[in-house]
Amino acid sequence: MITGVLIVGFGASIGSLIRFGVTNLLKAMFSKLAFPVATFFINITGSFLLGLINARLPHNTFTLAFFIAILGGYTTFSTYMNETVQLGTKKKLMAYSYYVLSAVVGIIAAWIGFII
Amino acid sequence: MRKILYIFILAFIGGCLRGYFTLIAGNDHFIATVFINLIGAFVLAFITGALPHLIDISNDIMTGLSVGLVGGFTTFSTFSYDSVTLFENNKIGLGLLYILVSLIGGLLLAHIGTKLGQQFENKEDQL
Repeated sequence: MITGVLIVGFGASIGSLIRFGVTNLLKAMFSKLAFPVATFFINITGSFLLGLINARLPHNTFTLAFFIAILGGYTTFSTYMNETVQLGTKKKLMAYSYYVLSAVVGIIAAWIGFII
Repeated sequence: MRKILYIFILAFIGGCLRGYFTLIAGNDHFIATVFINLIGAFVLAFITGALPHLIDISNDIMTGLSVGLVGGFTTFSTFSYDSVTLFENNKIGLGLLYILVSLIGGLLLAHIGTKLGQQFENKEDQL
């Protein structure tokens, strides 16, 4: 139990730092776009990779648990929701697109990762 | 550099909290994930709005709290993968419920958190 909790914590530390780096990089690259490209990219790639490692790596191993933990910290649900709210005050249509596309593409990405 | 350290430490705490709630939930871990994501959506909106008006907080700690603590606490990949697992196991109704509660609840709570956070902004203006 305690080991499991610590793995998730440590993975979240690494994953969050990767997210911070990727967010800064993508925000600089797409600074002119109002669409939250960074979080969208992070959540879709994270979902795909989680599907992939669950299909490929042997279950109940430390390696799988650790990679799941990193992806849990790498992706974010809270920022996704808050960006939707913020975007909704200025660009309603874009906010709805971001909201629906993230969920639909994210789930499809996890599924593709799992079946390929 | 200090920002990196805050993110690392606070994400560790956020991740441990998520790990704890998920593990004690056992087979109902997806219910834990829904709650974690809903609470996180609210807390992120609330603290980014209210905290700078309540206490003297540095930009570095604020980033640590939002990117690390709350970002490490909530998760999108598990949300996507859980949905796929529920559909793959033919639990279509439960899968749809999981998605709808996460999405509608998350947006609603982020909205409420934003509104509550703005109250503190306005209060400070009145002083």
